Amino acid sequence: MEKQEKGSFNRRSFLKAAASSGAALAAGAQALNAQQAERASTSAAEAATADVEVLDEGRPGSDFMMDVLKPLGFEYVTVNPHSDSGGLQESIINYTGNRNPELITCLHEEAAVAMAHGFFKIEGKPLAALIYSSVGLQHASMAVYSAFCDRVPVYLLLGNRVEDPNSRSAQDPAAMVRDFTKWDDAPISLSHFAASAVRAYSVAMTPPMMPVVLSVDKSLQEDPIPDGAKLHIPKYSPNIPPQGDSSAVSEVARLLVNAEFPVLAVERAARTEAGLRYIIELAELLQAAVVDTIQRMNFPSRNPLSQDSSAIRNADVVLALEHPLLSKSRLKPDAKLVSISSFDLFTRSNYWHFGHYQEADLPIAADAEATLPLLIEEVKRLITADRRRAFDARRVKLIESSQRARERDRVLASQGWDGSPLSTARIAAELWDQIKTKDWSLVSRSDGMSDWAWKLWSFEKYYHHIGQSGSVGVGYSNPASVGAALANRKYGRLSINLQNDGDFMFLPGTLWTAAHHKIPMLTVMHNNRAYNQEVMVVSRMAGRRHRDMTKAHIGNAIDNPNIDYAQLARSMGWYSEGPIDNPNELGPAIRRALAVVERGEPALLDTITQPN
Amino acid sequence: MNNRVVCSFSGKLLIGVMGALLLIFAIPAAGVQAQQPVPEAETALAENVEKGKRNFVTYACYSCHGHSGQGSDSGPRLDTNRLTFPAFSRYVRQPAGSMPQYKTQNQLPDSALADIYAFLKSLPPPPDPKSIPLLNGD
Repeated sequence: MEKQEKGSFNRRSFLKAAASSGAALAAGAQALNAQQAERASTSAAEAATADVEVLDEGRPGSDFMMDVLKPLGFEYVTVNPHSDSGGLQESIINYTGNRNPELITCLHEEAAVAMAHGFFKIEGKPLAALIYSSVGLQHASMAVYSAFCDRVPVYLLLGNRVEDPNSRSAQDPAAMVRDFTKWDDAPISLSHFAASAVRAYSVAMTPPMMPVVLSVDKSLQEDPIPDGAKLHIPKYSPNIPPQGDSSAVSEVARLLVNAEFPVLAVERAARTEAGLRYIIELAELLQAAVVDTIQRMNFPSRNPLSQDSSAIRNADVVLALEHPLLSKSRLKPDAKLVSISSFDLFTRSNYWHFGHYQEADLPIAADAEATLPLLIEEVKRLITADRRRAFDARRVKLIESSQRARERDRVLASQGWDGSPLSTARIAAELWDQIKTKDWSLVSRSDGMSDWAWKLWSFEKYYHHIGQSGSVGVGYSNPASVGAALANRKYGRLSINLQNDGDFMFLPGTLWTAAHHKIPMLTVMHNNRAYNQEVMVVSRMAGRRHRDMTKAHIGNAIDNPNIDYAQLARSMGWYSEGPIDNPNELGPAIRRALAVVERGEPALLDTITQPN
Repeated sequence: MNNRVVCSFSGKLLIGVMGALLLIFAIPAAGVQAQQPVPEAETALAENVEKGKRNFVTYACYSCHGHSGQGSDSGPRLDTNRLTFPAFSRYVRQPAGSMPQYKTQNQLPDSALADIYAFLKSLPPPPDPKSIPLLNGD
């Protein structure tokens, strides 16, 4: 898709001029700061050595860019094509053979970034997203914000044309997302690109992880690498994540071991499978309750130490792990709040995602996962036989509480079991019955459908769940699920997406991407034909104002006509069935759809559901 | 959402409300005394139930409590076996927590509220979870 209007400025002429007189450099540098001007001198020196008349015979700059990017290990580059990244796109295709990275065609830039978001949450590695600097980044920005809020690194490469005001490029394209990215740069030479590309990766992957942006000039991509240019590719070595101060960690261990009812409050605590294991080990050592907001797969759903949030009210010590929003006001007045979080190590001020200041009694600015091994060792050292007996007694009570909760959930799940529209509990139960013996992964939020998947399925492994969205921005879930399913594909895992209808329609073209790239997954629609939360919001508002309560659907309903999601999916190459509103048809439909997914294709079931 | 029916705010006569309430509370008594059902009363009750079902959607009750009052994470199950009509009415008019307030007759006429109660009362009890194999596996 050619978004770029024809520019009137000829790049070759520019280079000729730059090589001969440097006048063009001087003109262009007027808008640059001193540091950039210095870099521009280097660029001009590289350019000046080039024979612009043999442009097509030398290796283009974008080949060198791929020499830099390939060792960083990007498996895929998501792309919505545009003229200003054509150089890079062509190098990916023909220079690196469209393999590691492979281009993933997206039909919207927001999908390109959200897919990268979902991919990281399974694989723990970022994808690059190749996006047009101005209109493309404007499309992508909500997804960038979601990744920022969710502490997910996405590597944004912006195709830009800095020298042509007739193009729809930008002087400083990253400015638009600077409030919710961690770092950005606009390299003006290949040397500069190499250094910044590796730095960007390093910054993004150091906790707190966040998106980064490189604006890559079209000419820098397309012009030949200057003869004799001394280009160096820096070696990337991952930063060791920041670990908590050892004396402070010892104090945390002392507080936890001596507590009567300690609670581990976890949000984005487990960055990897190792983090999940550490949290299990710490909880089991202490027989401590774990309260999980499930932003990551922090703790097994059926571990009896997993408790609902009311446990926090009974705690005398709460250890908040990467949970900066937990307010001390939720604790008993004399309870201690300890926090281990990388949140304060880097944040931004404009878009509010940080909540009120957390009045922790002992705040430790560090990465929780990196700190847990030290904390576990300290706890082991401090546990006495007396304390172990107390812990065992505590475990008995927590098991009883867990069993009561499971029984309560079973009773609630039975309500409306045979009803139509379909009970969301029944959808979750029918799915679980057919996936529980398979190697499955929930590639969507679990907080839709009244949390029934989380309540009824046994989440144990890190890849069993990608957590929630970060920004709660509608439109995230559909593309993120495809990105996560892409990550699961090479492991042969069964990807399940519980898909809200409102979210789905933001980026339905994502279905085509999944079909085109043969990404197997099962999407089950939570089709309640409304933005139902907002129905409740408007009802509450009308109630408060003593006004008409019968019109809360206006602006919120997605009906009249009803959207035929099954037909929509079929049009983009998916197997699909629906609409399904008879509960007895659900199980057989799931069986048929799973057979399709296990053949390596995507499938969608349009299920007409209860509102929640 | 496609079952939505828009109701007017015209309300109904008080006698109608009382009639509906009498019918609602007559159900257990009728069962105990094993009297022959009165066809007209049955018809009236069925009408109340049908209106109540529509009202349950019109007044957006379903959006938190589900189409069968089964409850969700946004609103509890509506168990009319444990909730008398006066208590039900009191709560709807003066709710706690995040439930919308249906305070005035203009917002929700007594007659419509009574129909909703009749609808909820008519719903069969949920199955015993132990009888559902899918809720008793691993």
